[in-house]
Amino acid sequence: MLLLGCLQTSDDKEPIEIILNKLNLESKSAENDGLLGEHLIMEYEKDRISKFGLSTLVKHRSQEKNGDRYGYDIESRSEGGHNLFIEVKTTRGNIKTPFIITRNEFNKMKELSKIGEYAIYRISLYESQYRIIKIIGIENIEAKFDFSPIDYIYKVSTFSDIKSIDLNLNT
Amino acid sequence: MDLTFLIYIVITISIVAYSIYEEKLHSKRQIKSIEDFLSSILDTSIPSINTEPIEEAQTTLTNKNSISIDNDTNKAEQVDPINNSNIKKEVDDNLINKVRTPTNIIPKETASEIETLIEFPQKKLTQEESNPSDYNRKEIGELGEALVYNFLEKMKDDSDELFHESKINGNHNAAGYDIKFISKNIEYLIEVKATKGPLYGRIILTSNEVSKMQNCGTSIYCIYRVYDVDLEMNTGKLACFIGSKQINEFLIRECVNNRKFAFN
Repeated sequence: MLLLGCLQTSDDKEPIEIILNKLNLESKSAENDGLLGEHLIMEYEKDRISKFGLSTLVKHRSQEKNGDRYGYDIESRSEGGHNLFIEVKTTRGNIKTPFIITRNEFNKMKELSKIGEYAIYRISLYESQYRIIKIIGIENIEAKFDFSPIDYIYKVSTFSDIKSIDLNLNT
Repeated sequence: MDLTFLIYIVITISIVAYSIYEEKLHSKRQIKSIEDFLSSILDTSIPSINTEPIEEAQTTLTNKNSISIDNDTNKAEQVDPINNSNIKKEVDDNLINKVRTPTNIIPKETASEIETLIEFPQKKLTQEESNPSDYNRKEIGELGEALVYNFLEKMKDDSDELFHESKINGNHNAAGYDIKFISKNIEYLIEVKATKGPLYGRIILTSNEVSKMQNCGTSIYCIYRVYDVDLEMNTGKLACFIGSKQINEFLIRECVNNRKFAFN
């Protein structure tokens, strides 16, 4: 913890855009684009904090057992030495393409921003180039994105007394 | 230059502080080695006919302060737990005492390690067990619609009209309902929600469906809740909620499920 205190702090809260070229995407073993994006960010984050000797602190949470429960994909360290919880969202093509945040991810976003820094890394893959937009901090996420519901959870009231009909496709 | 010097000072202080802390913890660390040994003894999956490690393990129990953590762990793994009942009894007693009073004897981190080690191995869940609501979701949905369509077809009069919209359009979500039923010039828009589970289980309505429910004009929006669906027997049970009044009365919206994020 003492070592972490030595890191320089950054006041830059604006979204940061990074473009990296000539990636050999085929060499990455990934079941889908989402996992490929997470692998890219793992490498990117390890490289980013390797100058502080902290690259071992980068953890690929979504690939752990029951990884979905975390509500984020990668745990790293921010420039200020705080825990940085990263949700990676990857699509092919346009970086402006909307993406989906699940209920658990959305709830965790608010919880995690209280105990560390939360960030969305938006990746677009296009041929051998990928663009990353980093949006750090829940205030920035709320300011930069419009989020609209895709679906809702409903349930029948347990107090209701409802008559039912038996159905059978064979009769 | 100042910053570098400051970093240097902080690192030096932290190293010195850590070494002092390490020395103070030295006696507590011995307990950790015992805990490793105890947990290994309880693991019956590693039998061995070699008697040497047993003697060493006994030494570990009697001379707690003389064995280092790493050596202890390696040797303890080779002990045959079945043929050494004396050791096992001693181990059991020790473990029981320590688990009962973890805060008095064991440092916090060691206590949590024991908790993890004595945890029963979890059975690997099948896809159906781990997420019953998602398993065969498509098949359940299709059977639910087929059951309702079949039911309405039998009920309808000659003058009534019945359309399986989700099959006609192909795009399931486009219309915001699955079946259209026209009877006596009244148009019923029916959304079928089928699950394997009970009536009171969760269902998901898309924003498109909710929007259609709220803005269906002169039509009557209905939710046909098919539950206890049996894919093998092709059966299920049906509860009908007809019109917005009944839907609002019997169905509760719990929360938003997924959200779409788009750059503004």
